[in-house]
Amino acid sequence: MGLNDILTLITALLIAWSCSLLGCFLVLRKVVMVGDAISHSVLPGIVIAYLISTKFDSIFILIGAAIFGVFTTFLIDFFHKKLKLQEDASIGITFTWLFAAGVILISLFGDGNADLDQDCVLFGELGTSFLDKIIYHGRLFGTRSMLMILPVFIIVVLFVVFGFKGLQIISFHQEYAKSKGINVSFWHYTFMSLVSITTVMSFESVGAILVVGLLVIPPATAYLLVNKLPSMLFVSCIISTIACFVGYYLSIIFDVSLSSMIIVTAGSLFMLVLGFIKIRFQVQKTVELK
Amino acid sequence: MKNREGRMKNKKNSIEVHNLSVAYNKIPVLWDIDFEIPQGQIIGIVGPNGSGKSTLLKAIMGLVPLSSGYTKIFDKDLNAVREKVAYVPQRESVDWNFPATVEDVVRMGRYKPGKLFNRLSVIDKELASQAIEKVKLTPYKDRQIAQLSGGQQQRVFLARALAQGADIYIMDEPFVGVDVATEKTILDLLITMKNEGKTVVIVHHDLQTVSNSFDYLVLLNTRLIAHGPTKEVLTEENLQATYGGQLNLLTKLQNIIKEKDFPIREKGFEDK
Repeated sequence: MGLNDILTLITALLIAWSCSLLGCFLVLRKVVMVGDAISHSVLPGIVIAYLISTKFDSIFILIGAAIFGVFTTFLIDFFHKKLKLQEDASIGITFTWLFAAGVILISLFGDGNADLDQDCVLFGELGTSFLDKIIYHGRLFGTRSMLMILPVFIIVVLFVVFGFKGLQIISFHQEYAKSKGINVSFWHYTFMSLVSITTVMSFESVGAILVVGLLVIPPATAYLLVNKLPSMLFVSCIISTIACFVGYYLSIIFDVSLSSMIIVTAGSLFMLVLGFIKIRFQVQKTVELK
Repeated sequence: MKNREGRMKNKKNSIEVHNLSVAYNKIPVLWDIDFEIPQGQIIGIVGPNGSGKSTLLKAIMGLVPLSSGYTKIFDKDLNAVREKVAYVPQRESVDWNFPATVEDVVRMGRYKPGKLFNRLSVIDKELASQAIEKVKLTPYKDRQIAQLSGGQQQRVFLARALAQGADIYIMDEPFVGVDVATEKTILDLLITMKNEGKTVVIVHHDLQTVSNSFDYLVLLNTRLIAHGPTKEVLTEENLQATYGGQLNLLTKLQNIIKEKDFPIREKGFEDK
């Protein structure tokens, strides 16, 4: 395993773990599609921030993304709760609208720019992320993607560890949390902006579509296996770790897109677990019948 | 002196509701509700399906926007006394497949808005265990909540409220879909709580089953029909006003069957 392999794998793992942790709460709160919407609609935020700052790895991108992420959540809630539009329709309108606006912004202003093209936005370039190494005083610090996702990963871990009770109670029953005087909006919007930031930082590497796979598949697989929330978070990370390693080797063997291979592996793991559970259930039933 | 203070306290109201109206989509669900309820009693809020009972509880807990009016608890604003009020939502209102054990859910009763970032103390955990013991679920405390019967799930909710150590318990339909054993456990517990000076407010949809246990009744059908001690309120006239044409024997039977077999307010069974 060469240096480039290790760098790519570390990047993939940091992204996968951040997504798995946050994804657990998306799945439990039944707002996976809102997460999906956010991953797309942060695009105009990124482009605008990029145009303002002209440097891709800037704090502006984070702020731009967080703003658009929260705006998306807010807009969906507004359509759904205030205007009484169905939730799926609200989500569909919001994110396609914002995503399309982002694509137009790219084609208008992003011409001839290597960092900001449509393929990258949709599918990411994890497989080639090692080309962009950060070397300072002759020492290697990592790749740019890696250094971008690292602080986000740390924030996500801290938030999930210290905010565990808050996230747990609003995921289990928002109304009950509210009846206890817990500031549900604070938790909701903080969580959603963290989802936005994570999505954006994963953007370059895995793209807007595949990041949703990392947000949903590992937590959904873990959900089938465990019956306590901390175990769900842990198992979800294990699943995404397996998906990253296996996906990485398969992508080298078949010489295909790395991020797609990780998601295909994760999805296959999900099917395996599902099958395993169904068989075990059947066996249990036949044993009980005998 | 102490005695007199005690008596004075007893006279105070637990919950006051004044000129309260709530509307969903401009259709009033509650219209100009105005009543006070005493402390240290078991109070039933009774009315047919769709009469706004649950909405009334939610209005008291600050969970729905009010069109007009206000509510007070212990003569104070809700925010000032939140810890003194425990809300027990309808059992159907949560997804029981959530990855949590009985203990996890009951411990939520100890969560406080300002202290969410801190860990639960030993005392918090002990109070949660005691609450589980009170509802007789200690053997099940490590079970995932989906693997409980309806009655046991209802007791989990009750334990969570008990763990909070409140003075008022506001319960939304705690007797729906529970077995006879649980109904008795819950009723016994409510009476114990009453004897400890706690106030219990229960939303209930029919008068047949447990009405004997209510000391005080609030009859509701979008408007307030009557409120007062059970004996005074339970008149033929009031019941007619609350349940209207529904009170003849056949529909009564129908209602009982319907509410036992289906979760309340299931679509398609509302209008016949």
